[in-house]
Amino acid sequence: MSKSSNADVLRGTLDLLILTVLAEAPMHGWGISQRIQEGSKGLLEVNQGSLYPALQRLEQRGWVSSVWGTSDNNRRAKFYALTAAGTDGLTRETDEWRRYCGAVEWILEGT
Amino acid sequence: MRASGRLQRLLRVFRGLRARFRHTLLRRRLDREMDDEIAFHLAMEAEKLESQGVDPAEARRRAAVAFGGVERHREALREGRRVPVLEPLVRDVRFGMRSLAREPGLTLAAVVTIALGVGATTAVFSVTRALLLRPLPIPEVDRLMSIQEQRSGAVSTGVEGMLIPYPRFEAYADATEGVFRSTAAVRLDGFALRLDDVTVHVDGALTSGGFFETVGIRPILGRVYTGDDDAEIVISHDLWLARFGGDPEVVGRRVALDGAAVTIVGVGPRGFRGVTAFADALWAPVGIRDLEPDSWGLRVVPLGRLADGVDRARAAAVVDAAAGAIPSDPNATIRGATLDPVQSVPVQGRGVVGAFLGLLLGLAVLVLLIAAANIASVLLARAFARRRETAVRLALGAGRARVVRHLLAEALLLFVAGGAAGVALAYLGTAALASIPLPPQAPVILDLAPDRTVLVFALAVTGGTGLVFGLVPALQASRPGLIGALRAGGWGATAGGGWTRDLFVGGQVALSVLLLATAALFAGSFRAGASVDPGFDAAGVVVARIDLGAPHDYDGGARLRFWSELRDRARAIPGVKSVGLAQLVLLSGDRWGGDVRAADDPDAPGVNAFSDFVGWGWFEALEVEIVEGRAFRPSDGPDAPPVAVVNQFAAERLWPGETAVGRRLRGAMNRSEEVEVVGVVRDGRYVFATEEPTAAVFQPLDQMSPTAASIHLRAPGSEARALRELGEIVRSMDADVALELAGPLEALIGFSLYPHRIAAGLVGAFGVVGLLLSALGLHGVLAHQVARRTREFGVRRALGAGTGDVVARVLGRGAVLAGAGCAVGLAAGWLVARGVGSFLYGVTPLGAPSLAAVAALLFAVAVGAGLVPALRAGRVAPARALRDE
Repeated sequence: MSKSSNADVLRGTLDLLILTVLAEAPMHGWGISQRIQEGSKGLLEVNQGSLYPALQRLEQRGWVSSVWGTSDNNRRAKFYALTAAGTDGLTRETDEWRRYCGAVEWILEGT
Repeated sequence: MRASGRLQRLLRVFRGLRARFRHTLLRRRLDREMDDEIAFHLAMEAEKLESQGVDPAEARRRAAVAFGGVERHREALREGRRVPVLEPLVRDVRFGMRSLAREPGLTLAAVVTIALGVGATTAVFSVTRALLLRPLPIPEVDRLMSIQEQRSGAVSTGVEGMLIPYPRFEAYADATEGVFRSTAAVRLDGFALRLDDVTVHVDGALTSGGFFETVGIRPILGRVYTGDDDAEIVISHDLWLARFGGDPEVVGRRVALDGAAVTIVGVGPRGFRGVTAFADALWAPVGIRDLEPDSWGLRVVPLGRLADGVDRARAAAVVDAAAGAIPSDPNATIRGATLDPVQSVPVQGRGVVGAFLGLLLGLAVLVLLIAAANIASVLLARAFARRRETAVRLALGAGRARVVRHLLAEALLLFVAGGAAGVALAYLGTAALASIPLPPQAPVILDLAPDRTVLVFALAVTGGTGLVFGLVPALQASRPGLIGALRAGGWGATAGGGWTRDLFVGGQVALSVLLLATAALFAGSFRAGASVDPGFDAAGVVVARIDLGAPHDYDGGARLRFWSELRDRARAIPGVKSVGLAQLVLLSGDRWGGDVRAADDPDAPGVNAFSDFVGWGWFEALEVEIVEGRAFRPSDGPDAPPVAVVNQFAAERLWPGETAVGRRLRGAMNRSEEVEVVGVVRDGRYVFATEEPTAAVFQPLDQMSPTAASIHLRAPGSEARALRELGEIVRSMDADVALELAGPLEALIGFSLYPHRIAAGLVGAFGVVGLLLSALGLHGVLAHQVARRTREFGVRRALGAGTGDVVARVLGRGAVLAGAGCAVGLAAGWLVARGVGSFLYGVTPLGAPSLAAVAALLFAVAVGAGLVPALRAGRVAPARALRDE
């Protein structure tokens, strides 16, 4: 499904990306996928098959909440927003990710 | 295995249910939202492509392709929707079911065990609820009060409460107008109801006109009476069905009530049986009794319905103030009055009934505790048998909470299944209880079937015990220290959780001793009561009470002629050997009497004596032995000198060491003059079989001619026929007179032993169940231990220990457990016995023989239960231990 030039979002990082996008403003699913694609300058493409389950998972964990609203072009859409727990989670996950990336980088440079 | 196959089916059903639950309740809404969200996504994607110049149809196609298989996503999302809390629970339950299904025999035994405990507790609670807790079927019954006076002097209480003179009720009604919306007077009474072809005795109530308004009852047919017309009555729904076949034309029907012509003006609603536990068949205005309106003789209980916005305390203050202010009847001292909510068992009786039922409930809870301890020790054994599995799971990272959850789920499953079976048992048990005939003196209709409150109680009891007794083994078996079990190789270790099991088993033994000891006390009490020599022979005697009360126009002479003719005609009934009339029926709860004195010693203290008026022939009919002097004769008539017959106890108290015949006594009932003693009869029991020996004075019936009397017919072998013919004779003499409490004398005198009988039976059943359960528990513990120590026993045998050594070792352990349990149980039993002393008769609370016998029995059973595992241990071959390796 994905184009060869784009990489699928790595498993496990999708949650982090979603949370980052939602930290700016509440957003609907399609908008989130667009923001990730744009933010990565088209490098990352979100697989819809994992986006919505991820949102569902985050909602069950209480990190995001959802509400039905109206989109810019007047369509009914489900908007997701970060909860307080989600904000904390984002901070933790970001730290975690940075440490992880640092470690991987360190190993790559060391060899 | 068939049982496990059945369980698999059950599991499938359960899974199906779970899915249905989620799908039906949530799926629709969630699916719609999900579809909306996907549609929105596709629309946005297509719009974006369109804005890049793609034509709309192609844009939609490409958007769908980019999204991937919509249906696949939907399934993935549905999967993700599982409720996070429920899911692990469902898994635990499934896990528990599987592991229970692996041992169907054990599971069944456990379920039966719990069912017995829950069943016993629930059944007793049902009875408690029916008697004490269930409100009467009256609208806003908590606002319906009865005025209960505190009086001294001559007082009389009925089952409806303290009876006070009617004029005082009227004064209360005036004084409480502000706090009661309406007031009414009520007293229970018996009536002879004459129908077309039969005259029957029915229980009912005399009421004032405001009764129905105050109680808040509307008739389902006709209307109620208001008291303006004394010749109107309302019949109960039960009587309407039983005697009038549910005939809708019954309203307006004229019948004779105690000889007075009355009209049935209404039929009460279904289920309404008056304001007490006793079932009223009809209600009649107090005026039907032809008493003067200002008579102090008519005694009633005042009822009042609180006015809107008035609370009980305020009304009670008004009533208490009125009690001292309104005119009092002569010879009475009134200390005040209280308000009691109208309840099926009035406040005076609640203490005794409540204590008795509380005792039974406590004993039922003991059965439940034994059952629960039994299950807990079995679960503990199972958990330890699986400790390798548990240790592996803990080692592989399963949280302890998760392991505990698993074990707890298993325990709760057992308890839920057992609880359900227990409720079924309770239904059967209460049905069996309801089928035990109540004594004829207590026309109570008890609805014993468990209702919703009882079910909630059963659920709470089951859940509570399941949680406590499931948690202990679960926590024990999941202790982190258990990891050692892995290293130890999973066999041979004797340590770990042992003391908890010992505690459970010892506790069971102790509780069983306690139960059995209590059961033995009650059984002893019942036996002692039943084997008391009452001083007369009730076998083969039938009895019926006949009331020639106020509404029948009998004066003293007419009554005398009636009794005399009745006696003569009854003697002619074929099969009747002897006939005796008496005012009272012995041992039926009838009580009358006063102090008597020896006439020749004015300073001698009075002797309180039971008193009865009996006709000539009565001593013969009841086979009361005359030890000195003579019985009454037909010549002891109204104009003859007053005479009396006393019992040995009275003779000994009044004239110690001297003969009583020919002496004179004062204080005989209805006699101001001295009365000559003409005979002495053997001592007996008079009011209750369990009473202390007491003095008794009999006077000739013909010298009193009471308005009501009981006729005793000794007709061995033809009791039913004698009673039938007696009914015909009475009807031919006066069709407005009914036989009351007609039946075998033995049924009537069973009344005083009824609680003993119920207690002995119930507690005995509890005790046997407890004994079985603790034997099972002990057997389980020892068998389990033997299985665990097979290798140890093998080694012992190999090192030269004989079979006897090994058997003794196992048995010894069982004996220590049983012994400790017995000791604790005996101590507790001794305490309980002291506490229930007031319910007992003829056994000392310290009933050492019964306590010791119970302990010995239990000890023997316990050791017997250990015998099988002990012998198995003794048979362990030395080589077995090595093979086990």
